[in-house]
Amino acid sequence: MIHNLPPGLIMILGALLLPLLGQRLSAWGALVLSSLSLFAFWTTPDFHTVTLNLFGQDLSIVRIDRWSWIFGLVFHLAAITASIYALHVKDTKQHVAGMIYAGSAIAACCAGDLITLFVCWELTAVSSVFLIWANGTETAYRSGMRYLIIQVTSGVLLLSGAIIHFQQTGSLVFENFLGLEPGQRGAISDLGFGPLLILIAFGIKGAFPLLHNWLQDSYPNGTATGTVFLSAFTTKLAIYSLARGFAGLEELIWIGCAMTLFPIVFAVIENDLRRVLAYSLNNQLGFMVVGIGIGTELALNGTAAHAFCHIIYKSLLFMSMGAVLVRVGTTKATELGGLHKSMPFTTVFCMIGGGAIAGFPLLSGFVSKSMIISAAGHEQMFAVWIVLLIASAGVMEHSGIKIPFFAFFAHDSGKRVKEAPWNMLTAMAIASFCCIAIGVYYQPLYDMLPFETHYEPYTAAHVIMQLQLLLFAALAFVFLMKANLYPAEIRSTNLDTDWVYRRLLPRLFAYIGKLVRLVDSLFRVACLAMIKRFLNWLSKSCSAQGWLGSTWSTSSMAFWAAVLLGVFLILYYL
Amino acid sequence: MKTKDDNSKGGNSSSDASWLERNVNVVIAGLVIACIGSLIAQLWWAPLFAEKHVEASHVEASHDDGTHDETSHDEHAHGESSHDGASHLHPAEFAVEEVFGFEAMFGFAAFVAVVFLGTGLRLVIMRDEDYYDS
Repeated sequence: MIHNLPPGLIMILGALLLPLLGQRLSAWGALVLSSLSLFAFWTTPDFHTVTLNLFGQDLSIVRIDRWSWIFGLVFHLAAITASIYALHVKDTKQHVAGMIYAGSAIAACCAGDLITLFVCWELTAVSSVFLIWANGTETAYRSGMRYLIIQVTSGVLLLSGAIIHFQQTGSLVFENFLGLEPGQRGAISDLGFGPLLILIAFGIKGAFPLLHNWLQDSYPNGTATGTVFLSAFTTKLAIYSLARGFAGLEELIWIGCAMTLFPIVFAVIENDLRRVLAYSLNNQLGFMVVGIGIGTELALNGTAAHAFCHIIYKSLLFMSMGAVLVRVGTTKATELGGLHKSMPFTTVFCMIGGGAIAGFPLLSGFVSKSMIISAAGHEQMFAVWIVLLIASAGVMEHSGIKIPFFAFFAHDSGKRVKEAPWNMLTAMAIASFCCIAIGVYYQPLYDMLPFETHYEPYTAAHVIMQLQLLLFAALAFVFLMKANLYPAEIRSTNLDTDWVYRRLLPRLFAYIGKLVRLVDSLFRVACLAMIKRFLNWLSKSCSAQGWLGSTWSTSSMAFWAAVLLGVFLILYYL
Repeated sequence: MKTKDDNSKGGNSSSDASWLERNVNVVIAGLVIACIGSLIAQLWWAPLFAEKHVEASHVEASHDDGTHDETSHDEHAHGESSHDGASHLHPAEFAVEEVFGFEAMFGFAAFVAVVFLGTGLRLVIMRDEDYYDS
């Protein structure tokens, strides 16, 4: 019975009951809900589908295959760890929002048709914004508003695309829009208008270049615990959807390459460490998008594996920064440093997360990222391969070194705080354990991947080359620090594409408004002046001295009378 | 917090400097040793690197790597695009990988380039902290 309901529905409906538990127990309620949901999901039979007939349309509200399974599973794990992480939070509305958000993301990745997907898609947007607003500041409120507008726009595009696609093909089934099998590739020009809109919708949620900035804008404004939720679901749901709908779309390779590159440069100079993590997230999504674009079985396996590992280590990194935020009150690099003395456990967990994202052997990032890089190699895509190597060095820079170094080491800020609360440490310990466990014993993960694989990440050559890349990157950091060439942390705002809608467009509209007002007032003044002149002329003309009002001489009267008579005479003869 | 306070507190904290702070040079030395180690490791395993490239480029070559059997049976699955089902010892297949210390130089150079690009980017996009609030 329970298996005939969309996975995640337990969390969505259960969340509505959480307020009844009161402030203290609602956090535990959220943990119980996500665990129950995992149990239900775990016991769901393989390749389970449930079809519902609604308004004459068959909607497959449940479709669990290997893609849905791996994403559903890691979404559940993320929800459980994030719930543990948030156990100390007394704010019930955050727990409700978190559960509805996680539940709808899980339901979305188990949706077999575009309409069910759309409903869950919008539900993730609407529920997650409360995790930003819960911060309570004016900045968070405005940032949340921008987030909501962009996310809802993505949903609207998805729905429009789905309707157009349905008009053209008569099908609402969510499958590859190009009809490609793994290993085949297609171009964007083969897409119809409907799928193109859907691609843009996915691209917004997946933070494609130029559509990305909602991510860096909103995530650093979430609450310490809310951002952990946020980091796990929205973007990875987009990755899942892209893999399902657009695997093998060649343009995605280059979009992905751009995505891996530009955030690493922004991350170097960003002062807010949670925003650095948001850029880092963007860069990691790039790896996955490249994998989707390559579209071979190895590449798609790599994408799924990387999403799985990424959700865990990115949560871990956001959790460590959340702990810093809770204890110190800020995550700005200029205010931090030397925290390893007062938060030793958090430091270790953060470094494990940093090592995992950088792809050190024996940690989870190594066994997943290398699949995507290998896939580029197998397809003889030299340029892509080089870009991914640069991006790997970049990851080492911003997440492997910058995050732990500036928060916990660097110059001592003199701040002596308490270690993170026990529940935060527990959640970080679980995530760290997963990072190491997957890195060491990766076979269970590989067995879950969408396609069968015999990939072997730990070859001597591969391990040595990866170590060379990372160690020498670290050496470069030491060199730059010693030579005083590493850019100092500066309290600043760095412009990104959000400048367009936060500064340029408002300024432009203000300017256009001013221009319109100016033209309008000039026009009014001109018209009034003309009327005034006309009236003046009229009153002048009719006055005693005016030519209409003054007395005319008799001779001119006689002359004009003669002219008039003459004209009459001519008219009469004509 | 003002930098003045930071300095004064930082000064106080020198008395409770942690082991890491007192031994930064040890950490750096360890890193340098690890770097050199990774290069030596490549020399040690050089036959593997060479062989991998030979296989990737489909050149008939005699396999003389019986000693390195722990990797010789490794095989990467990569769908239908597999090259004659040949076993691959390394995920990527470009000649440049054979160059000694390629990834080391690449890692170092890419890191420095990214940092310099970032520093340059500051000139264009850096504004005051309250830029959007003003």
